[in-house]
Amino acid sequence: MSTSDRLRAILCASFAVMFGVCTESKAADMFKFGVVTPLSGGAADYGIAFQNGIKMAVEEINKAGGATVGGKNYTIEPVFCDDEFKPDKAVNCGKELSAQHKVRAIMTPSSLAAFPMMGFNQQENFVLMATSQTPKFTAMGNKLAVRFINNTDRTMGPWVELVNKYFQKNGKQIKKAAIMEVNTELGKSWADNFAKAWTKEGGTIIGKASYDANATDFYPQLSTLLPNAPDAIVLTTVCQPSAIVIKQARELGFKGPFINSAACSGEELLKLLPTEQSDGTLLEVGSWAFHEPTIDAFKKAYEEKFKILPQLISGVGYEGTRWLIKSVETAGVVDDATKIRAAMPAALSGLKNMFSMANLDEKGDVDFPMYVGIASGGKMSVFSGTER
Amino acid sequence: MRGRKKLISTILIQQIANGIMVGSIYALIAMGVAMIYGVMSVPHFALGAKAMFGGYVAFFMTAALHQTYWMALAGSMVVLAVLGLGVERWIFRPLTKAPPINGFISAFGLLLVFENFALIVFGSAYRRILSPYDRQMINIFGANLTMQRLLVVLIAIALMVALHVFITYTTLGTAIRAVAQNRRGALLCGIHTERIAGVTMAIGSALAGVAGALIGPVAMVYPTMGDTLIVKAFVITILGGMGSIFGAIVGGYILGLIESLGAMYISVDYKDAFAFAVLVVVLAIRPQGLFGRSHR
Repeated sequence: MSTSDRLRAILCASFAVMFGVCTESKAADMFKFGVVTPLSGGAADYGIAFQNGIKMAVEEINKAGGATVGGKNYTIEPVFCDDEFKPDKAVNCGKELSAQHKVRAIMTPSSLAAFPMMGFNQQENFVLMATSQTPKFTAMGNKLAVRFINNTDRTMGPWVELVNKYFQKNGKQIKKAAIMEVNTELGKSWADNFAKAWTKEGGTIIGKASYDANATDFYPQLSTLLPNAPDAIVLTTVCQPSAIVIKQARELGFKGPFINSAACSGEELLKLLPTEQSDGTLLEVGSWAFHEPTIDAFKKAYEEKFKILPQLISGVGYEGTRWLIKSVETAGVVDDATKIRAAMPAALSGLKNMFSMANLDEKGDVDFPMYVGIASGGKMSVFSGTER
Repeated sequence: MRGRKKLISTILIQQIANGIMVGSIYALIAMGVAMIYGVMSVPHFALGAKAMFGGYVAFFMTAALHQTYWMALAGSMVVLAVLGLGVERWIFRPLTKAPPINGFISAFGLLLVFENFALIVFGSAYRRILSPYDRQMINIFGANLTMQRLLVVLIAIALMVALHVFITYTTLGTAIRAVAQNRRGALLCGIHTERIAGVTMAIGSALAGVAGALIGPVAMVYPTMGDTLIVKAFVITILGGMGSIFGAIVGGYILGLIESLGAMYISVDYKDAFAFAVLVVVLAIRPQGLFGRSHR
């Protein structure tokens, strides 16, 4: 080992300690992109699910010979950076990835990391792909911001209509909803959007209680909501706290349905709760909940590889990676974020994906249809106007 | 009108029941914090993580080893007591002569080490402890509770009584009190202070462990479950007076009740802020805490 190699190794190691990222410098013809996601801390479960999806896509692409950009072959390499689900860490990650690794695209699975990085992604010249469902993400005029999930502003209306259709079809009178609102940006905007759409459909909101996602006892909130006799309880967050809320609401005698956002995937929820408690929970699901051969094959391969169930965010990470790589191929350059962004609509239109994601517009929004997932008898079914 | 009044009193009873259950868990951990601080002058942040380990021990004992829930409770206490001994022997004892800040930093560091250890070894998924008492509903004066919640309160009270008897009437307990009052004096009387520190750590850790095993079926078990608990336990220890075990018990219940009654009468949105509001008020009026000795 030469002195400079040793020096580089030491520098690399110290950077790894400081920023949690480190890759060896390898030969050229490597396309790197950044991934800012929680890998430790309370949201690690979610962040690792996203990371796994990306790993699967990268492995697949590299196995097939990598990406072909401008006639040259590139090996794909994601550079992961742990943001611990904290905005300040996300900023460090973003700066580090763009400055040291010169990445031209960063993917993140949360609004929490996306918004602070929007402060500098245009100056630092990288495409910011985020699974932020918050409408604000694409409303701020950021030219390099791309959403690869639904915008709740667009999907909430049709989705609530579908929820009501489902209740009507099953002869249920569900009009009075109580909201358990998690104290995050998405939790609030999702709850507000839901309330708007729900009242427009003729329902009422009879109570709202907010809570911290890290809390363990929800009796205080439920004890204030349940005496108003709601027909349904609306949840706004990931499965784990949702499962505790459902369990405790059932203990307190609530028999009606729960309605939850896409932050919680059905399979995960079913795993956390006994059937009699999970029965009748409705979730926002993407077309990935349908049983189609390619989707089932992906889920099976994921489970075999990582020994855990895939979450919606795993699938999104997988498809997002495929889309990004195709965009780079379409653009024909690896080092120009503006050109990569410009190639993204065309790349998406030719990309068959598990979420029927299509039509990227100027603002950075995509079509991402949402359906109603229903937990019943320990299984998930999907209602898309007709039950499937 | 009468119906409305009855409704409000039912909610009130329900909230009081909620507060007592949460207060019991807080008190268990706060007692450990108070004891350890009294004897070793270390604010032991890692007790939150130890509660989490207690939860995992109970989970593995019920799910993997098919033991009864009672065995799991006992198991979590034993395993955590051993862990407490180890931490005292290998981490805190070498720091006895170091400046107090070192103990503070190492306790805080331990919390992070334990949490990330749990994340790597147990994974980030939430685990559900199966307790036979979690499915049985009971109704006390109109409040709906699971048997498990009642069990939390009963076991907590039993442990408090046991600890009181131990501290007051046994030689070892007297020695612990002696070291808490004056370490050098106790040493001069021939008390092996290091051994006492070990015993204190074992007891404090076991209390945290059983708290985790008790709350496990009510909520769930996951690597960061101790975070909120330890923050609240510290508020309680300061509220009750640093080092005062009785203060920790009273403080635990006060905090539990303030949180749930505040949720009912003021706003659920600020439930977690009440603890800190109370802390600010108490520190302003009585800086040594409710039951602390004043140092002048």
